[in-house]
Amino acid sequence: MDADDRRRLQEALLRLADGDRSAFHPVFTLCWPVVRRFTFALLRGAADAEDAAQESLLRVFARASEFDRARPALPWILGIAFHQCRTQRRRAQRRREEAWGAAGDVAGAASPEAALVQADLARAARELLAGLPPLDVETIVAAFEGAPTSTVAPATFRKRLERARERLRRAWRERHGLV
Amino acid sequence: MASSDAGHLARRARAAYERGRGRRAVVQAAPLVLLPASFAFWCAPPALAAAAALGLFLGATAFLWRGEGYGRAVLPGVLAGAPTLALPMLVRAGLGHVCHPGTCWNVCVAGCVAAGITAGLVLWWLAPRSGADRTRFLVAGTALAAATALPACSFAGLIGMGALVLGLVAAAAPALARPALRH
Repeated sequence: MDADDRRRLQEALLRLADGDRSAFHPVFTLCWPVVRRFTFALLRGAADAEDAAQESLLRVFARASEFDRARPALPWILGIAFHQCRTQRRRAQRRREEAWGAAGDVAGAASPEAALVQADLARAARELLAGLPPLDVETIVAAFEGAPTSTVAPATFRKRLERARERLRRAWRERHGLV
Repeated sequence: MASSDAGHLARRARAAYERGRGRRAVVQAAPLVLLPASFAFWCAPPALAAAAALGLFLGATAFLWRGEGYGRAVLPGVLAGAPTLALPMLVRAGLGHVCHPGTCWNVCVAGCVAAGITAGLVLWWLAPRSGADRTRFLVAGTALAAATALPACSFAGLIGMGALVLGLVAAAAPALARPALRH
């Protein structure tokens, strides 16, 4: 953008800030190519550079009435575009992170085979627990949920949990021959 | 970018511009309602004070959103009308009573006319010297000065409020009429 274009942009933006709607098209025509080039350069041609350019332009117009006549127009416009690019980059980064997280969940959440194994283990655990004394079951469940019963002293709870685990291990060994 | 895309973007940009102006106008106009609304605690009937506050808010929002001469007239218009709010206090200081339509009829009505003329002259003096902006400035400024000052003249009844508007229009009318006469 040469000095003459800058001057015309400054004048048109001032008129637009004052409410002169006839200055809209001059500002749009002068502003759009600059904003587009700037965002593409900043985002290095990323896929969402076009979105960032359009969003930047919309923000420039949304804030046009706040434009201060003491400021030069071009740096003001590019400042808004820069801010928008930064926001867009952060948003893209967040999307990527969420996508990775979701991919991890899918991988951990089981293929049909893994789901079958998990269901088998759950069923075996339920059967073993059914064979244990109720106090052992209560203690193991409380430990699993991380909430020891308030009526029992911590030391007693730890002792009970140790005994319940031992009985559970023994039962598992007897039935499945493992552990 | 294809021209249809550019056209679509231009329409969105125009809508964003109007929305931005609207939001800014609402934010700037909101504090102005305190002036006429505060009169509900002092002298004016609450319904009248509320109506004047609402009128001032809507008028100021519309003028600020429209911009140019209309927008520039908002603050001068309100400031030209604001001193009238002191009128009941001045009358009470001078006569010892206020807020009773009929009791101070002559002084109150004369005061409202004087306040209207003063506000009109202030606007006339502040208005741009020429061009379409002058007319816009005077129209918007007169309307907002009237909305600001009306509750203060309500203690003189309808005649007091009419006198205020008459004073305002009498002072601003020559300036408004001059461009029309020139044409």
